[in-house]
Amino acid sequence: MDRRKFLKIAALTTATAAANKLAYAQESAGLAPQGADIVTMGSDSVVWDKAPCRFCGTGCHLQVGVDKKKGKIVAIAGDRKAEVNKGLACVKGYHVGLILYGKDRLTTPMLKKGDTHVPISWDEALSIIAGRVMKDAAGFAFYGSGQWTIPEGYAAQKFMKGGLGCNHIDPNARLCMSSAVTGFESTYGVDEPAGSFTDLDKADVIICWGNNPAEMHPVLFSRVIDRRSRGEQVTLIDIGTRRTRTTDHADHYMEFTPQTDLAIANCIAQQLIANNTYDRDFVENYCNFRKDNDPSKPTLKGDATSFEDYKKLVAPYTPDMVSKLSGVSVEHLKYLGKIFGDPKLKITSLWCMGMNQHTRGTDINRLVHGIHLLSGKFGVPGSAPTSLTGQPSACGTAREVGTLAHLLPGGRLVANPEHRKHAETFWNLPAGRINAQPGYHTVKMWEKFCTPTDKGGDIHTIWVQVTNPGQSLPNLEKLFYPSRKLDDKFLIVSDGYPTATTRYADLILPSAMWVEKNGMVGNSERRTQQWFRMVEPPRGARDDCWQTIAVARKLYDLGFEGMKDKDGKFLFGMQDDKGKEVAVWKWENYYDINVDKQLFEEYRLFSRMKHKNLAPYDEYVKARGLRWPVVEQQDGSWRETQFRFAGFDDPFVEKGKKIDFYHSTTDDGRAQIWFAPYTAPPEEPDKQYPFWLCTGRVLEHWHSGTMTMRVPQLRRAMPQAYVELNPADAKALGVTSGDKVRLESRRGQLELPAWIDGRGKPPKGSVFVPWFDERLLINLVTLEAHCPISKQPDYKKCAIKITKVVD
Amino acid sequence: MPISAVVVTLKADASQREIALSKLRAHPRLILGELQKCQLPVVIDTETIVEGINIVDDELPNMVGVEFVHVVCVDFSDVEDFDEKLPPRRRPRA
Repeated sequence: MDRRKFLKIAALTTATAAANKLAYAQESAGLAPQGADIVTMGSDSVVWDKAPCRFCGTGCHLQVGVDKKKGKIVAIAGDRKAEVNKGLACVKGYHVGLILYGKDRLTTPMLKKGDTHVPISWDEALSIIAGRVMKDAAGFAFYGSGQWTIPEGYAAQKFMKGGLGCNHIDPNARLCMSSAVTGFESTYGVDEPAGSFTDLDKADVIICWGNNPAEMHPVLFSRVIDRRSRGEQVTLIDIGTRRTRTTDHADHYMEFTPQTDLAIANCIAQQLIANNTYDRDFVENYCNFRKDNDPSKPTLKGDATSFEDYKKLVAPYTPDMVSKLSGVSVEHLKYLGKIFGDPKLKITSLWCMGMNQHTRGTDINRLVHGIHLLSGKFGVPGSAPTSLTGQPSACGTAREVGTLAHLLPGGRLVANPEHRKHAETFWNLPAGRINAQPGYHTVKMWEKFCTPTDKGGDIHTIWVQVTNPGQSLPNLEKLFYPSRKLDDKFLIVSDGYPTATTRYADLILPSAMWVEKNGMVGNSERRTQQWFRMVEPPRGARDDCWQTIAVARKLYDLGFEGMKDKDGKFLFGMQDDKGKEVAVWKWENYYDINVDKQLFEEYRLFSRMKHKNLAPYDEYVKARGLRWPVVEQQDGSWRETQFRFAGFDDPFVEKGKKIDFYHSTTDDGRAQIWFAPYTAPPEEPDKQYPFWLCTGRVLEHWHSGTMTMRVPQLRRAMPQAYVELNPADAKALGVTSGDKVRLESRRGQLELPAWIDGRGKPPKGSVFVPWFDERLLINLVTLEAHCPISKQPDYKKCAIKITKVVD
Repeated sequence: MPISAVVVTLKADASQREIALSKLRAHPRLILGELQKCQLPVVIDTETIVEGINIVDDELPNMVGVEFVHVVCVDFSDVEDFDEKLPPRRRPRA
């Protein structure tokens, strides 16, 4: 039998086993599948190991096949032992192994001289960065990422807040999930979903609030498809501003005018109370009510109010009123009120950027949590309000490690003296090292960087790792390009490939990617996952975490006090198992020990305060991730938690209680049901700019396309950005598919080819543009207005005009 | 020449399912396994990676009678060069 025939037989065997599992759902929901770890494809020179996928917040576990002779990834398989994806992957998983092999990988540090970048040594690069810190540590900023591994983010966090005493560190996750954070914090007193992906296996109804999981979280979405294919009744409701692939599977599509999701949520609450179908027991036992007394000055904590007051506040949001405002039919609004009022139905709400990238993002998050609490659709498998993350470690790194300008690890605040003391103790720092003043959030950080120093622009340097702000920031003409004309502003970029950001960088550092380094990440369901390095990065490229530690050492050697702990020792000092110091700041020694493990074991000390307990590193080596809180059992095993705050599963719920919100902001074990009014968005279509613009992603390309646009096969599948136009609008403009059109806002303009009746179908008066194409930067056009509480910008709605481009 | 394994979830409607099965059987690049309820194991054997991606990403999901496509595994150990020549992707900012 020749090799290809063997591979085909093995592939068919593997596919048949997967089909069998899907058809008969042999494993109980919530338990990891059994079976051999051996992957049947591949030859003798192929070695397999586990790693979470590089892409979305689903956190699918893969088996990665590396040909040891070639030193290259040659095969990918869904990991059959992984509970998240049960041996399956999506089309992005099909090609994730290829992202490392684009021909233009960065392999040497480069310094901008005039109009070009010239190669320099690593030593020179590190010295330059150290010099920028020494110039003025208070003006040095770090812009990180929800694609940072946990150790990478933790190292940057410690470097900045523990070392420089500077809190100007913020991640790109500010742009994707900070409204989810403030929504969770102000409702439950602690961040991240209480439920897990198991809810999707148990729900009777799944509601998508402005998200498109069929394309953006396909493996998660496939759970719904697979349940239906087995004959289960699962109702899917798509509440959105445009038709997508998710709509194709939905039982009910409810199209709403942008921003009126606030009114829709209030309408559900209004009906629950008016019809007396809210869960009285749940509300009386487990909930308080809150609002902002002055809605023009919203705050995270708000003000207490009563049920009677809340009832009056939601009373105007009748189905008739909200239908006129939102465009959703009265029948659909009543249907939503009816299902939430049905105690027999288990409902899971899912959302992502539609609710988070919103100038009232905190409020809409709170309102959706609120209707789940009001109806008692909480704390029972299948009933959960669940925000999904786009990035693989927005939860694990940005949120849990706390790489935001106001946070410390483990849910602590820089402004809280007790929390600073904890961090100073864990990091062995002198008292007072950590700065009490929150740093600049993303939009402000880049504004300051783009402002001349003599006009208050007090950020002189930004170090960017694992993200592409030159493409992803809103309103680039305001937040990015001006800095490039200011001589005293210095941009450092660590990346695997050239990007829209490296093009303008003053210093470029080549980075290792994915399985070219050890790593850990945390997905959307609180699952922390781990992998080991499997292939070498291209010669010259180095781990981001090493880069941070190496600069720290440069500073230490220069006598910078911040890089010493209170005993005068190096802040990132590490030892081997005999207690001997290892010079991990030298690249040749970096993998002499497991740096990830040492950083993680230090970091996990932080995790207990908010009951986000993490297990020892070695437990993650064995598992396909574990959902925190992870608690050691008497037999020495480690037990994860699927459902937080529920007495039947969460070990921190007070004994005897069915539900316990033990981080309640009112210190009484209760969650907060918020009222927030509908208000119009800051920019709406008018006579001059008559169209809504919404931006987002596509299935084939990950975020700004840095990796996926380098996979030629994916570029063929989706070669460039476009604008989706409604057919009626296209006809009125005299535009057919493929014609070039100009989109213009108050901020900038862009020309794009039109796609009519394509994959997505916007309603009349609305267009959609994906942002993956660095040649067609839609963020020249978008608005930087943000939620006043979370500071997250709104990429989903601004006003534009459209004209046909006549050559 | 990559070889990949997928599971195609077919629609519950019998007539649509038959349309899909008939097209899938006739496809020169596919090897079909045994249908299990609505779940069909399929092996895809293509000359190039891009062909494989087009089948998985575009052709199969848009086929009448197909509800969903799950990727199980892909082996491209026979593919020597992952790159294909494409037009340049960068242009200077105006």
